[in-house]
Amino acid sequence: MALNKLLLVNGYLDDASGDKLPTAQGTAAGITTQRRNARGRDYDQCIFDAQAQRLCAKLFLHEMFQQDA
Amino acid sequence: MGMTARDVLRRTFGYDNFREGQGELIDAVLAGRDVCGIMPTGAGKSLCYQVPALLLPGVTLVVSPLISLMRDQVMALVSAGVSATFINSSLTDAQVAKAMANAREGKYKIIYIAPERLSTASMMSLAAALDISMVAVDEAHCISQWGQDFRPQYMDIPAFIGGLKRRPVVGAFTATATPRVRADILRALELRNPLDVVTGFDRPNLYFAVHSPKNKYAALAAYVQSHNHVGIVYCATRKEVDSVAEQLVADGYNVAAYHAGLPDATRTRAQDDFLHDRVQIIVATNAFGMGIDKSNVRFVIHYSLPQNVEAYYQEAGRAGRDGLPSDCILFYARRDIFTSVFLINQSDSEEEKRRNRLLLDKMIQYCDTQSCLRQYLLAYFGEQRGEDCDDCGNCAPSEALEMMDAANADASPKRKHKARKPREERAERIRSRKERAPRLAFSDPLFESLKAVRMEIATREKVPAFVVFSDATLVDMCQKHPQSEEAFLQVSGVGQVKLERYGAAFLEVLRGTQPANPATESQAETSALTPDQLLQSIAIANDSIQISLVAENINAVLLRHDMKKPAAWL
Repeated sequence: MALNKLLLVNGYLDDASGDKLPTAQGTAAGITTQRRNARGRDYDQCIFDAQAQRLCAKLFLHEMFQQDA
Repeated sequence: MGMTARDVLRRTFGYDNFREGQGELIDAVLAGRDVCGIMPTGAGKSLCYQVPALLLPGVTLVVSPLISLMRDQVMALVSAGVSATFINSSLTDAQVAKAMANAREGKYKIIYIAPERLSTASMMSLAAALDISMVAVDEAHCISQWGQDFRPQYMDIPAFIGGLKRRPVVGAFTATATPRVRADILRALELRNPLDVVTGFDRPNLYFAVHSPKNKYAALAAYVQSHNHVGIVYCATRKEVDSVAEQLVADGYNVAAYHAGLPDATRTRAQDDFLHDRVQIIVATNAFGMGIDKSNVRFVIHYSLPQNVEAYYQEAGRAGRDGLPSDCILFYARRDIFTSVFLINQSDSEEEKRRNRLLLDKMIQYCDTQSCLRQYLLAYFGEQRGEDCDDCGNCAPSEALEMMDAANADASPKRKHKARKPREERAERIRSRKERAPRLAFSDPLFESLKAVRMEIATREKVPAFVVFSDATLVDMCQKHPQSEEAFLQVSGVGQVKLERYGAAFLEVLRGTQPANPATESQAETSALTPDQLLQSIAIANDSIQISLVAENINAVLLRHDMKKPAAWL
């Protein structure tokens, strides 16, 4: 499963607004957003601190091993 | 006993083995036979004349079309301890006189020279005074009017060689030559019974794709945002270069523009900034790049339709010269065909217009094909292979392509893909192809530390970073993790002189770190790893980073352990 989807399924991100944004649980886990602009359109880019990077890796690896089992 | 070609390869250039075709070509030159070497970019053409040059008794003249190529090659040779120089229009008269005087005194083994110099009186006089063992013609396709880079001055080469007191060995080398251009090279250079070696045109580390976004800039921005790498964006016109570069700058990227309409000083600065890694992306017309020997270009994006397949393959081929995985993506809109036809129609010659339209048709066919893009390109250059690559945009769309589709939301037409082979079969073939390319280690913190040392040395010595060591050499350093000078010499690309010059600085870093990838690790140990053990190996950045970079860091570890499923983030 793709990382973004894993984070959605586990409640760290929410895409109800159309963009993927951190939930309260995601923010607590170290996911924040940065305001960016591309071609005149503002958007929020999720970024991951060290703790959130570890979380992503952990979710991914555990899911990968579960599938292989 | 004297030095052998293999001794020179190891001691001077730091490589253990010759690559395909090199050994044969070098042996033929040393035996006094003319050669014609057609080898893909990054396959090591230069070594085919540089190694024999150090073994032949006299001087080797290398005819090369571009100033930047000569300068880079000479810098790389000098940094490896080889006495070499170049003579071209970038030197002042006094510098040319000095280089010629040094050459007369026998101070150089290799002299790079621009083709337009060959017919000058001063060069003829110098040539008469030198013992010339070999004339190597680099970018030999420039002699063919069928090649897109035809240089009339190349036609002077046979007369120059004919005027020498003793005919030296003549070698022709190029990366891009259709069978027709190849025949032109052999005929026009008057090669005598040459050993003709064509090693194949495939560049297994390059991922080719054609993408048709309605909003090209949105697709480009999506790509560069998620690929924090060095790359080239080729545009069809100066106006387009300026526009794309401005937008990228406005979006916060470190970008330089390059086209023939800019002042010489601006172009030189842009090129130098790119070569020295001071800018990440260069947006350019096709005026940029021939002879650029920058090894760590990770992507080449064609924002518009190239004029022909040869030009495309040559420009795209500037990605991944170090053998590491790189992307070559062409943005295709049918309206671009009108721009191309307009440019072709600027020619006064009906014959040239006809020829260029035929070549453009082949380029359009590449963009329209639903079949394997690699097969198409290889077939164009006369290389037939029966199977699809399963690793191009048509065989297997990458995450990057899907991301660019997403950036275009509903605007991008759905790409059609041909029926795909079973997953396991594809994975096996891709794996076997990629085993020929070094493993990616960009996310390894050690790689970043070694890059920092390289940058420090390069800045101090005022040379591009790749002259010190290529990315591929740093990757090999990460994998071998040498702790002694002897072990450092075993790293691919480290010769005796580079060990003496740079070894201490790199060893200091290597000794202060743990190996990320012990070479002794067995497959059995790998398969026994738990998720938590793998987790320990994944690089965690101190700064906050985007999810695509998190995925890259995970993938670096998965690749290292031969795990089959890369982490997608989208």
